[in-house]
Amino acid sequence: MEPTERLSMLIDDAASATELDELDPIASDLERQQTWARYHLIGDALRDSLPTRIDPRFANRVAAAIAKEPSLHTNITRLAPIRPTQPRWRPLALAAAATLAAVAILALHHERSTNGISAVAESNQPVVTQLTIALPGGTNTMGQAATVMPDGEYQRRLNSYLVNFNEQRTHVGMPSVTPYARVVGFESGTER
Amino acid sequence: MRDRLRMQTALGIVLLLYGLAAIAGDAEALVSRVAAATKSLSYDGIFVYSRASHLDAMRIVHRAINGVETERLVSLSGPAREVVRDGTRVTCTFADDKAVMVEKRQPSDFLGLDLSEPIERVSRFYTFAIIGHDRVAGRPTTIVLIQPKEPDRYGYRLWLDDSSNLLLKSAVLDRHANTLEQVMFTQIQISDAITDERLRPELDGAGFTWYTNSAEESPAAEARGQPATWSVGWLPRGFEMRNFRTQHLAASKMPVKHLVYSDGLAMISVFVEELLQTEAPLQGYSSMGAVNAFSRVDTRYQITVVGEVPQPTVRQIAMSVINNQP
Repeated sequence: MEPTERLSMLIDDAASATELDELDPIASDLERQQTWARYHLIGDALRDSLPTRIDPRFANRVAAAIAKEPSLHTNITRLAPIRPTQPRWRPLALAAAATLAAVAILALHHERSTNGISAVAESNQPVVTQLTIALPGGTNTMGQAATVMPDGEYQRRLNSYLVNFNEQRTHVGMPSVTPYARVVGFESGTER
Repeated sequence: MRDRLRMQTALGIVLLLYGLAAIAGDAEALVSRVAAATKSLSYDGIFVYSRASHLDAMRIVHRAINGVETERLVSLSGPAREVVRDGTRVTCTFADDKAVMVEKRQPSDFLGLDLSEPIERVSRFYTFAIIGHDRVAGRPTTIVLIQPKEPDRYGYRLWLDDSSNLLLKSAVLDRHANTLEQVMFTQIQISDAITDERLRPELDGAGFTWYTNSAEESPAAEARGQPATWSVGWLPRGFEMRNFRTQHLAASKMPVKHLVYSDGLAMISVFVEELLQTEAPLQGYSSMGAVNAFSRVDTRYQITVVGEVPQPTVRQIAMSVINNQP
């Protein structure tokens, strides 16, 4: 059995106990670690259960990874094309793909002696920041060709929602000095 | 002797509970006075706004004359940005983007939204307590802690000016009492003598790109009342619709349906707009201090929920939005 097939079975909970023992060489192989992490992300994407927080810059790497994996590529087009760059409201924190892979492997070692492999996917959840995945050349749920909206349009739409939210916020709910501080204070493209 | 001791203990407990209730009542009364002060007073102040690792300084000039509010907010750190609002429009100028966004309003838009929620109703979902006193911007304040009874919304800590009831400092807290964002005045002048000059924009927007909504009146059938087409299947307990409007936003090509919900303190907006074939959708989370947003697509419609509530809450609401006439 090819190593990638074995990894795929492990992720699908279809591996035997003997095959679990074969994880040790995987854990020490950087390339296989990356494959492991990539398969988890692909699986999450196919199940539409990607973590709620992910580094937007990570999206391009995930898209590239999907393109490299023909065996897991068949249902990808059911996902809507999502903005590859992050909106004006910046995510709270960033995470790296290497961190994700390392956490996956470390968690796997830990879980082998406790509750089994299924907990590994959960261990990935808090690592990343914001879901934004681009599928180059894909189709969206309306069956249209994927389009790329200029940065400004995304930002303007979000800002417009924020302005209108805050306009109502001045009338409804908790008294506030000025909800518009959020409009003035949002981060620009670079750290302020 | 034993009965007497029991009676004294019981009396002590009653007095303690009564005292706590009185303190909570005082806190509620204070909070209920803040809204009026924020709207009815004229002031010129400098405050800092912090969230996560970011800190910004801003100046606010607010004038209220006979119930008509005019306000100018300008950044004093980072890129030059300014928001000027009056009864008919909000103008946001972003020097870093060389853009101006104007959101016009019809006089009838959201009329009647100025609902001061009866504090008794809010008390069903939050507890109120006076937790101390402090000094902010050189002025004595009373600190009120508002804690949600359920984890699907945030708590607040408020520093209220003892003499004017103006909110001089506020913090939004998550369920672990971590501060998500804070606003604190460092200097404030409360005065009726706010001149037009102080309210005049510093940024004139010359040479910038302007985005202005058309401010067309909504179709009469949908202008008020319940939205017939879209509904929200799940809301946190106590949230009720405060208004519904079909709006023309500056950044949207199609009319946007805007549903407003509140539990009396927190507010949630649900935006639904039809996507043109050339538009790619927004999807996923966005955050700005204590405000979270979640966007998704339902067939050809963009659904975005923006709220001063935790991320799981905006997501759950967004996922429950349904089209009644697909």
